[in-house]
Amino acid sequence: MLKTVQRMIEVAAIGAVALTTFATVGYAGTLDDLREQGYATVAVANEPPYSDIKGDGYVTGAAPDVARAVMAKLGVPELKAKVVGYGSMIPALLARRVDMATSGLYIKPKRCESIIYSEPDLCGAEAFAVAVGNPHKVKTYEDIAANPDLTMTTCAGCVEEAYALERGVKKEQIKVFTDPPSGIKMLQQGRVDVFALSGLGTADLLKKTNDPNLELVMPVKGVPIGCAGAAFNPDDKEFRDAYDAALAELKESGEFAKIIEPYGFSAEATLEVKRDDFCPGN
Amino acid sequence: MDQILEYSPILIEGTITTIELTVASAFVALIISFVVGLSRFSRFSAVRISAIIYLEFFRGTSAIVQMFFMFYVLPLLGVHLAPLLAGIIACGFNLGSYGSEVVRGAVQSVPRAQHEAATALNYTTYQKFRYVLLPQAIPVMIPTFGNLLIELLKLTAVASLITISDLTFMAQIIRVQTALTLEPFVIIMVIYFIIASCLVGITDFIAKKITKGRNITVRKEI
Repeated sequence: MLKTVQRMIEVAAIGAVALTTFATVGYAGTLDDLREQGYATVAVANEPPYSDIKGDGYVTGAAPDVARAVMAKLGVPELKAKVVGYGSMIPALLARRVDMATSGLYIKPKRCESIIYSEPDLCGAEAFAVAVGNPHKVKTYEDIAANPDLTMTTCAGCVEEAYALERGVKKEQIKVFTDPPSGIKMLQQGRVDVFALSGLGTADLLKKTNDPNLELVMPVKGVPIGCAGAAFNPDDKEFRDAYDAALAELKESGEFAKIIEPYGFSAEATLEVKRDDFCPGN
Repeated sequence: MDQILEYSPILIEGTITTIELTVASAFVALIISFVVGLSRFSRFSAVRISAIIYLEFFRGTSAIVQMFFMFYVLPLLGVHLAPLLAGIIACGFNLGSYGSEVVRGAVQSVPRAQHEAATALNYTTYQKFRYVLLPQAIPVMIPTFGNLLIELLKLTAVASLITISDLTFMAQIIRVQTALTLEPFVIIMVIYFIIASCLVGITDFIAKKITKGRNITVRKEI
């Protein structure tokens, strides 16, 4: 009986390995496939101004617009966007649910272990939202760490969470939100003292919420400027390199600045940084 | 309110997706309920044990985890299900496990004398179920199935986590785009309630059809 079970496990393991290998081989030359089918499936987050979803479901925003322009250069005329939470973007790439992800997924060493990035496309400072007048005088993550009574909220699996933990904020002080408006609601209802997110995301949200009792703290000092890039499955190095080349052309021609500046992003800040600054050899 | 109206196209799309998902998973769940539920009466122990394993596995693990597994883990093993299909399978398999208990319970609730009578008449197993047990068991199942159907409708909201653009998913998009919270949630609550009411109406209609001309009460008129 034990022998049979063992045998079954072996067969299952071999089967699983065979299937995985088969799947990897079957996906060589992603870019060619995309050109043939005429569209690419792209994961975007639901966070204006990085990505913006119109009433009829059309996806725009700085990151998808850049990706659209780059993919058009590469001969893929259409983007089909799928809204995926930040925490699910890497699984979606690895499972090939999407061909690429683009929407403010910051380039971080931890993430570079499982996925590959294009050159940076959107950079921005970090921000806090707090009650008006900033009663606890919170300007940096260190300020939150210094006062254990304070609580903050940010999204699950986002860099802001890592920034906070690295700077001494305790796990108990962080309550993650499922989506940014819920985080703002938590702040409005006094469930947390600080809301942390990307600068432009926070600014956009505060503008829409239009609550005189809230205040923006930007930029948050002591944390690096966050840069996002388009993210790819690690097997798609060729696709990524082609994307990089087209993105470089776009940056040079000035078209890049024309796309992102209306959304409030600074093209200059983006042109100054390289992927290697964050993830050498990725 | 004007802002919400602007988003009505995606709300309608979300409603349609939710209905599609509910109807398709209901069919899957119904078939599984009968197959697994009736397998529990099999004379082969292997069939009975497989049915129990299925039931305990899908009833005993979280639907969200099952859905994530089908969507994000299966592709790593080479099985690539489309999002909607993964949603239908996850919802259908999950609810099917509950449904199989409804089928089993209903068949067992048929008085023992009926089982014996069928045997005394030398009915085959098929004849026993087809002409004696199921006709009496199905009316008993209907109210509970009606309950499960509504449960299924609400379960489909979980599918928004695997990129299916259902009603809940669309509400989240509207929330982020407009920073309104009350309005989108009230609207989708009303939509869910209307769909659920329709489902109740349909089950009542089926119940009436089935009991017509028979001396069995399915649901007492209030």
